[in-house]
Amino acid sequence: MSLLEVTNLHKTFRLKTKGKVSENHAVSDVSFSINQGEVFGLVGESGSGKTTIANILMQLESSDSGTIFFEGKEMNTFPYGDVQIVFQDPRSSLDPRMSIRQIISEPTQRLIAKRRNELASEERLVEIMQSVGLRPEHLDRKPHQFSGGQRQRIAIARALITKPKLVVLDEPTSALDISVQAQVINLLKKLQRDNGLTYLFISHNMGVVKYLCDRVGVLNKGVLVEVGTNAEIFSAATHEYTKKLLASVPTMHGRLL
Amino acid sequence: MSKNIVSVKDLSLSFSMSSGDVQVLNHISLEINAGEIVGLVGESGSGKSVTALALSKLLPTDITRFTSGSIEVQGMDVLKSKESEIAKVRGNSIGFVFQEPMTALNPTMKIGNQLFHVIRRHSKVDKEQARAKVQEILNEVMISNPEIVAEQYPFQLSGGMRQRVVIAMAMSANPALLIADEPTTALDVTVQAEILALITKLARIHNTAVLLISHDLAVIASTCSRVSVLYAGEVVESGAVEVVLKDPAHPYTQALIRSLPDIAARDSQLETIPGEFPDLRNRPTGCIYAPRCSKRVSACDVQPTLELVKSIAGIHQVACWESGK
Repeated sequence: MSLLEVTNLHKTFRLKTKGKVSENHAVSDVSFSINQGEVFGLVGESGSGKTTIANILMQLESSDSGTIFFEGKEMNTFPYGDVQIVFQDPRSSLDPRMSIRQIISEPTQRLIAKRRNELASEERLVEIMQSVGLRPEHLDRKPHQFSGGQRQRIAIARALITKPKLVVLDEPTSALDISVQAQVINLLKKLQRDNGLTYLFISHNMGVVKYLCDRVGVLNKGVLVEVGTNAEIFSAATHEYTKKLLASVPTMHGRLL
Repeated sequence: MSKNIVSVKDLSLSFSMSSGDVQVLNHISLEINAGEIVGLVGESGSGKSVTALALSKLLPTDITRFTSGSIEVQGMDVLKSKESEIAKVRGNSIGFVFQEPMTALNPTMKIGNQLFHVIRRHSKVDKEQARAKVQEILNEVMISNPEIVAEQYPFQLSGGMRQRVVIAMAMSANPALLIADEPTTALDVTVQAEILALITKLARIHNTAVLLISHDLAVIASTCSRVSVLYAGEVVESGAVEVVLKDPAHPYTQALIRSLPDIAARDSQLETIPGEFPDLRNRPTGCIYAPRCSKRVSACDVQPTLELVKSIAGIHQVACWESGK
C-alpha cells in the first residue's frame, strides 16, 4: 500500500528583476508514490527540485498545483507529527541555546497534553537517546558539546520523537566525514528496519542512495525523468540523463578520465 | 625523471592557542614532480588544508610555529625565505583553486576585468596583450563563449563556470605548482567530472605539478597518480593510487575504504571506525591511530615511521608496525 502519493506536483518561482518577471519551474508535473516501509530515494543535481519537493511535503512551501494523498486520503496538511524531517547540516538545524532535552521534545509541544506527556516522557527521552546511540545523561548538554555526527543523531532523535509515519531525510550525511557518514547510515538503516519506518531519502550521493534505497526517482531540472527499483536504476537505467549522471560518478576502481 | 617541484621533509607545525599548543602536522613528507597529480586525502581536521597553505606560508604568522622540517618549492626554501620573496612566488609559481569559487572571485568585478588584473600583476605584458590573454585563457579552460563571459559578473555564472574562471586565474601565470583544495566539493557530479578532466588536461599540457586535496577517495582514485593519506596530521600511508586505494596496507586506509557505501552489499552493515578523532593538544605517544585500531599490538606504543612496504614492488610506504612487515 502506498503511504504517500504525489500527483502532478507543480511549483514555479517567480523572480522580479528590474520589472521583468523570470520564471523558474522548480517542480514540473512530478508524480511518485512511496510504499509503507520503503526507502524511496530522490536524486538529482543542484536546482533539480529535490529540496523544493521536500519543502512542499513539510509545508514549508506551497505548491502551485497537484495533489498529495497520505494514507489514502487527500491532504492539504498532514496530521501533526506524522511527517518529520532531518536536514543536511546539524550545525544549523539545532538551536544552539537549547538543551538536547528541549530540542528533542520540541516537536511534541503543539500536541495535546496527554499525547505530549506520553511521547516526551523522561522514560521515552532516555529510550530515544539510546536508540540513536547517544548517552541519556547528555540530555542537558547543548549542541556545541557534540561532534557533527552526534549532532545529526540528535536531529534524527528529534524527528522520531513524534513516532512519524514518514521521515524526509534531506541530504542527511552530506556534511559529514566518510567514517561518520557510515555510522549515521547504519543508524538510519537500523531505525528503519526496527520501527518499520518509511523514508524519503534525498541525496546527490549515488553511493549512499544505491546502498540505502529500495526505489529511486531521478530528477532533472524539476522533471522526474525516471523512477525505478534500485536494480533498475543502477544496473539498467533507460533515461539518457540517468545514464549521464551515473557515468559522472567517480569510482574507486577504474579511472574516470 | 621529471623535475621535482615540491619537497616537504619531516614538517611539523603547531598552532599556539589560548587553550594550549595544537600539533596540527606531525613529521609529514611530500614530494611532487612536474606534470604529476598527487592527492592528499583525509577527513576533517587531518591537516590537508594546513599542508596546502604551509606550502606558500599562508598560515597566520602570529600563532603558527614550525617545529621541524623544511619545505622547498622549486628549490626555494619557503620557511627560511623572507615574506617579500614568498609573495613573489604566490600566484607566479603557485596557483590556488579553492572549494568555493564564489568566495574566490570578486563579486563586484566583471570576469574579464578580474583576469586582466591578475595577468597584469603576474606577467610582463602591456594592456593590449593582457586583454588578448584573457580571451586565450578563458578558451583554454573550455569556456565556449569567452567574449560574453568576460563581460559577466560572477553571480551570472553557474558554479562550474565560476570554478573554470578560478582555474583560468590560477593557471594564468603558468605556475609550476597548482594547489587545488577540494576544487569540486561544492559542485554537482556531472560538473565535477568536467572540472577534474580540465585540471588533468591543463596539468598535462603545461607540465604542472598538482596537489589535489579531497575528502573523496573516488575523486583521488580517478584523477591522481600518487596519494598520501593523512590522519590527525600524519601521513599514515602513501604511494601509487592503484596500490594504496585498491590494496591499502594501513588499518586506517582500509577502514576508510570499507566504510564507503558505494561498494557495500545492501544487506551488509557499513564498517565504521570505533572511537573518536584524537585530541591534537595531547597527542598520544606511540601510533596516532592505535586507540581506534583493530590490529593493535604492543609494538604500537612506539610511534611507527613511514617505511616502504616490503611485499610490494615500487613506492608504497606505510606507518604501521603490523602492516609494514
